[in-house]
Amino acid sequence: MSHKFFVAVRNIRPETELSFVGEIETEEDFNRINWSIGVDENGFSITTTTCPHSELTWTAVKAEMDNL
Amino acid sequence: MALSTIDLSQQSGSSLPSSITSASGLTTGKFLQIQHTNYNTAVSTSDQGYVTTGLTCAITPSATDSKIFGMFKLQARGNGLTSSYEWGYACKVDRSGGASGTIFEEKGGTGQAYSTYFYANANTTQIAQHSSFQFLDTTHSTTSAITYTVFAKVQSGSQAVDFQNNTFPSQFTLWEIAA
Repeated sequence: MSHKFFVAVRNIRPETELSFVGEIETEEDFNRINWSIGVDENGFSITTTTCPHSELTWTAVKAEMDNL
Repeated sequence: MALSTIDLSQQSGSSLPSSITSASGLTTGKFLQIQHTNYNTAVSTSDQGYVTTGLTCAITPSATDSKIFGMFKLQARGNGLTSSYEWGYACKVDRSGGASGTIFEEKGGTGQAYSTYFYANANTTQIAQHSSFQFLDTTHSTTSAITYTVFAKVQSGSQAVDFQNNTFPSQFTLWEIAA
């Protein structure tokens, strides 16, 4: 299931970096995703749960997943 | 008269005679304790910066000069998301609590950090596998609880990793060894 989600995200915006716990099946899950916005001096990802990519909305990702 | 040799072949039962309470020549145990974690919550990432895998193990050292030997096994399912046909991840272990800093990071001789790697020249890559890693912490210098956390990053943005995929567990074991 997560593979389908990753492919959907990649189809909308290639090379998007993110991480999450569990599965992404609802908008509530989508809003818990950690989106990468950079890397710190120790190599750790700097993340935010507010999606920084305007084209990646739950509606758009869900529609893409349904089409796969 | 102090005993220097005990002929156990002359003893019966499964324990030493009760009259023997100590012996200066008897080497006492070096192994102090063991802690173990079995973790099966899925954590997925396509991030090229380190993120947590969710796998942690905690221990409270009984001495500041003891050694902590750690072994962990990561279960991972890899998904190639494009036609690059390759997949890999790197990992490291950081301490928190009584000690801090990175205690292990996989690195090759040229700085290559993706020893867990797969390449195929056909279609999209998908692979499920386990990788094991070990480290020795000789610098914790504390008797406060330490939590060791495994972090990982993917090799490129065109792939993803599902750790603990489908509830297959990753495991983390810590041994404390006396100095």
